[in-house]
Amino acid sequence: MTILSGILSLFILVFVAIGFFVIWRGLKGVKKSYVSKRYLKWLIRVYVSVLVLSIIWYSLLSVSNRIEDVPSTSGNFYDIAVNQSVDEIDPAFIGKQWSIDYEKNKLNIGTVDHEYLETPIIVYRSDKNNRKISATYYKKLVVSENDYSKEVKSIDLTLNQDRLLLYQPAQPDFKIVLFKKEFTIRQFTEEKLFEKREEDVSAQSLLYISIPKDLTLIAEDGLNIHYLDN
Amino acid sequence: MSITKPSLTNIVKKQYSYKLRAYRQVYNSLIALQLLAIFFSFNGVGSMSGNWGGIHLNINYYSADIIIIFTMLWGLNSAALITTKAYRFDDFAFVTNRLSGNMANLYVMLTLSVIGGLTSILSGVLLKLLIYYSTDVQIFNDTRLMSEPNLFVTSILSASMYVFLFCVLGYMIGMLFQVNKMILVALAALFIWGLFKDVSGGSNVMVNVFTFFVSESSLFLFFIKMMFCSILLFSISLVISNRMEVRQ
Amino acid sequence: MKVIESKEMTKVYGKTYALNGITFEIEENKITGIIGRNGAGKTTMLKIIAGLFKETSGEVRVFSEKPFNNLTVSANMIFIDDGMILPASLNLKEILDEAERFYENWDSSLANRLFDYFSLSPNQYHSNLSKGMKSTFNMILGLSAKCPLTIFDEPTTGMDAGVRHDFYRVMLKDYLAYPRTILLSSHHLEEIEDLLEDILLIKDGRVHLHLPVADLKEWAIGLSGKKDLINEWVKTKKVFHEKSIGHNNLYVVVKNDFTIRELENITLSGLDVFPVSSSDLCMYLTQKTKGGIDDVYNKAKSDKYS
Repeated sequence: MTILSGILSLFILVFVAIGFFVIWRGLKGVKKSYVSKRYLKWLIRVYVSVLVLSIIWYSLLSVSNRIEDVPSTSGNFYDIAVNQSVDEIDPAFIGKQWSIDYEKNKLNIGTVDHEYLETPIIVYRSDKNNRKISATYYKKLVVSENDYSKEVKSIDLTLNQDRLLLYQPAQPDFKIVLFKKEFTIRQFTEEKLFEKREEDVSAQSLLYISIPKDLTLIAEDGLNIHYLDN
Repeated sequence: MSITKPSLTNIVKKQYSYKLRAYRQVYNSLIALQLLAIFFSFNGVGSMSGNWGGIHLNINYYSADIIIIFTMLWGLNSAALITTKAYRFDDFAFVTNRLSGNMANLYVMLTLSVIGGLTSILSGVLLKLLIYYSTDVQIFNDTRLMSEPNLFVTSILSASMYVFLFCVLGYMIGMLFQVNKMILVALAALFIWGLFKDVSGGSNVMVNVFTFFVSESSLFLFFIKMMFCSILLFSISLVISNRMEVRQ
Repeated sequence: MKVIESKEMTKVYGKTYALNGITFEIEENKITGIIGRNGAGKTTMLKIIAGLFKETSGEVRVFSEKPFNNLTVSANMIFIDDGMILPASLNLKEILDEAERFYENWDSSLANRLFDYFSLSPNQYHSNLSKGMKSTFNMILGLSAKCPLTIFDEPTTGMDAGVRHDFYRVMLKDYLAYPRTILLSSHHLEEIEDLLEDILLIKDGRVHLHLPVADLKEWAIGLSGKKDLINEWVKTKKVFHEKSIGHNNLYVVVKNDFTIRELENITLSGLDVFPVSSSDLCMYLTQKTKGGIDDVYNKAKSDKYS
């Protein structure tokens, strides 16, 4: 037996056991009960109006929450930058761009107090000595085809003499509620019935730095750097 | 005094509206069960938190499936209840025969299924609203039920069909039970056999029965399967009820 | 027109015969009393006629149709008994409303007037009524439905004497205004005999007697006097009832097929002749032994002293 069918069997067992219990209670002839007509009338009225109100309310809510036109890039920024080209990444995900003139031959790169920076960094050594450092920060937060990338705070980058200082501003925890579609609809859409849908959420960031050909880059501790040579 | 010749359709219509009124307390249990299911769903079905390249996420998964499952069980129970003596004999207070009674029950079950299917999906919306306002979430994924009306309607329809299948199943089990009380034991045995009887492909009979419905991704085929099984179960109930005397 | 025809109707439960070949016919618009002891098969027979039970064998026709599972019979018949199950979730007023939808001839004004007269409350529920009130409500249902065939099986269970009296009175009045076929089974024959036209006496799952009430009153005769003399007269006759009076005297009930001359001779020979009331007669006819319960007691006594 595969694991899936094992889980399914367990689920069915619980479900059917409850079913048996329910039907046994019903058939055992739990005494015919009557519910007062007036009470029932009110109960139904209240319940139906709550349901109707909530659907109206909710539809108003979700309209205001919606951001259309989700950028098209899927896949991992890092992989795209390494395997293809950083230009393949949709510019919509660009959070911030810097272009800095730099004359010296040596550059330190690091963070305040060598704090670990989680954003992956790709350093690209260009084939020209144009004395220019350019950097692009990509960020993405897409939840169920809604784009929340703008809510992500970009990192800061400053040049301090011969040290490039990266600074990650305090990023709030994004609290996300993911609603699975009802199984009565999941089975007709492409989703699998029992899969957790991690792909509903896509969150990533990337700092892409392009440096001149002959610049010596000294990376301090706390960085997650990948060098890309021409 | 002259004798009136009643028409079957006419009597079925009258019985149908009579039964809907006489069974109205089932709405009480429907509302109670759906509220209970909302309460159970409130804790969510899982959570995950982590750091994606400096973006901290805290994800909570929610699902309204329990509401639909509870509603299916409600259908099972309500339909079984109809077959008990206490309710079956209600028919015979007034004009009836077995065919008209069964037909009226069928329409009652259809009505209950649509009511159950509709309210289960709508109370799923209520659940979302409650979660929206009770947690401090920033991001709330829209299940697109509102923005895609056809999906919303499909969801209600297929939920109704699931409830209906369970109604007809409950009706059949109830009828069998009226003939012989041991039938529940036999069904339980059949079910356990189904769980342990492996079939090719590394699953068992019950799992296959389950996936027969739940894995059907074509709405049309799903509809055909549901109708076929419901008609089959109801026909069995008809045959069984023909073995029963009307009122004892 | 014959409303009910029954030929050799039997009903078997396992190996016991509840009905053992019932044959009779009932004409349209007659009130017939169904009389018999407990267990004689009255209820089983009535339920077969009502189409609630299926006969084991024999031919039963109601409105010239087989009654079991028959919509026409169901629509033109109402069966009222003390075990009537009505929906628990509907109150009394709502049940009357439902009945109005089902029965074509429903007389709602009669229903409402009776409802008020017997001080039932519309918001009450059937399951909460006392036994007598339940019977009263069922009776209102049965009368107001004005069905061509109305069957009352022990309709007065739990009713007090006043209500019983009212019920029979309203039944007779309504019957006179709207004649229909009524079957009425009751333990209290003396209460209903003025109401009935015919009597159907059931004993041991068979029809014992089926005749007009007027004939029943003269059907049997009671003789009392000296034992020897009586035995002489009833030697060739079937004695339905026998009771010793004092040491030497005897009271017997026999079928009244004496000629007028014979009756004169009986009186002359010193015997007293009494009419036998229908209810007494029915009791005698349905008794298993001639002497009734007295026999049981006397038997015990004689066993003891022998």
